[in-house]
Amino acid sequence: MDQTPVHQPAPSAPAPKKGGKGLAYGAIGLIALAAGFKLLPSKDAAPAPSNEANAFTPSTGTYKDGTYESKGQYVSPAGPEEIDVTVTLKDNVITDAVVVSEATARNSVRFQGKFVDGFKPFVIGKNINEVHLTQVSGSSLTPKGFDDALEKIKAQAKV
Amino acid sequence: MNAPTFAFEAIGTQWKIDVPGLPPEARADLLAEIEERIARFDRAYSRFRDDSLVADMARKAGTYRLPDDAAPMVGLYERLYRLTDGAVTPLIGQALVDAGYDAGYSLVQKKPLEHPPAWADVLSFDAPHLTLKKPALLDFGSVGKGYLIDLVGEILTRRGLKLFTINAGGDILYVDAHKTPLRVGLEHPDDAAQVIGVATITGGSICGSAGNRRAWGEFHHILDPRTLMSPKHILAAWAVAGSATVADALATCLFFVPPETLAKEFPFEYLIVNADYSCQASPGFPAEVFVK
Repeated sequence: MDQTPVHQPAPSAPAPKKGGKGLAYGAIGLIALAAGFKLLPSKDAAPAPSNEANAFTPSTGTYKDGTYESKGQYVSPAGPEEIDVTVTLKDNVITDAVVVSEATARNSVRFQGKFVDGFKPFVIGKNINEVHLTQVSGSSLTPKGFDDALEKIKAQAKV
Repeated sequence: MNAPTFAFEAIGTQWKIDVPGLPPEARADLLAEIEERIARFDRAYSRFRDDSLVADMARKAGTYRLPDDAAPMVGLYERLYRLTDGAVTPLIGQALVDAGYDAGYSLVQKKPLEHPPAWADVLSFDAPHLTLKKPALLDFGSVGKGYLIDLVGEILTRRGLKLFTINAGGDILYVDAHKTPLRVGLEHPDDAAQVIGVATITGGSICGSAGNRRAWGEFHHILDPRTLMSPKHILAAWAVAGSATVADALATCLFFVPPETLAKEFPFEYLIVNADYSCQASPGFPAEVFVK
């Protein structure tokens, strides 16, 4: 059987994944590709397409598409920490990453890595009711007079 | 548990001050002190009333004796002016008015905007005296609210309160001796019913700036003196810093200069949401941001 020719696609902007996941910026040592993390296919790993019966597995850095998760341990000045990292790889690009750190709730963590180049996060919204909040920071509270004025302007603009 | 809260409108925005642990009998007195302090600040620095010091300075050149609280604010403006190459300037007032953001909220551009003068050409400050070579309408909006939040915080601290939250129009100062985490939603720039993330702070300030709400025609409340247009490449920016003065100021500055420029002089964390909804944050920005 012919081996599927290896084709390294040019790096491109990863397709945004549907369904938001959280990026916890406060977590340390992100990215499973950093030294020390072993990638283990998670139970939900996407199956390889059937026409790639002999998927290419080179000796360095190319990974099968799929979802991988790993737990990492490290020692921070605040003591031992554990983080849970799940990454989704497609064409050797991380298209999704979730890091869950126990330390996220504390203010002592510092992020010591950068996202893999090419992964550009886009924000999405969640309903305030879904998220347990004490306060909201934004620009929602404009002067009453301002909103009234805006309404008047809009009314005047209608010819 | 009964958690006392003061809620009122002042300096053109809604204030909510949580003061759990405040004895009920101290409420009225404390609220009066806070309102008086805010009124005094407004009387000096508001460009939305014609009996303020700022209104006087817009009518007549000369040397003015500013209140004692002016020095930190004007001093910060001097630093920001230098750091942003003049993009953040208190001399932006007239251009804002001409664009429509005037005392009466006419929200109609009345005439072509003019570039504000350079600081050194019209303004000198030797605390507490401010000298104007010609009349100028000063706008302290980039720093004033955060600074006033800190001043109110000082009142609460002097009263012995060790736990409180001040939220003035979405700019927040949090003090807790126990450092209990406070979860702060980051409002979606397009939809106030949604948040794009949750910041967690154990003290200090988080302030946000966005161009969505106070917007009319081509403008919003942030105006670039160099282009005479409102920056559109950024939808929203948040800064986390030790004081509301700094967080408020830097949240505005982020619309004009890269965060690295500000980081040379200020310790802070930030999140920026760009016009295409991509985002970038400092590595230590204490939040979970919802992304795809």
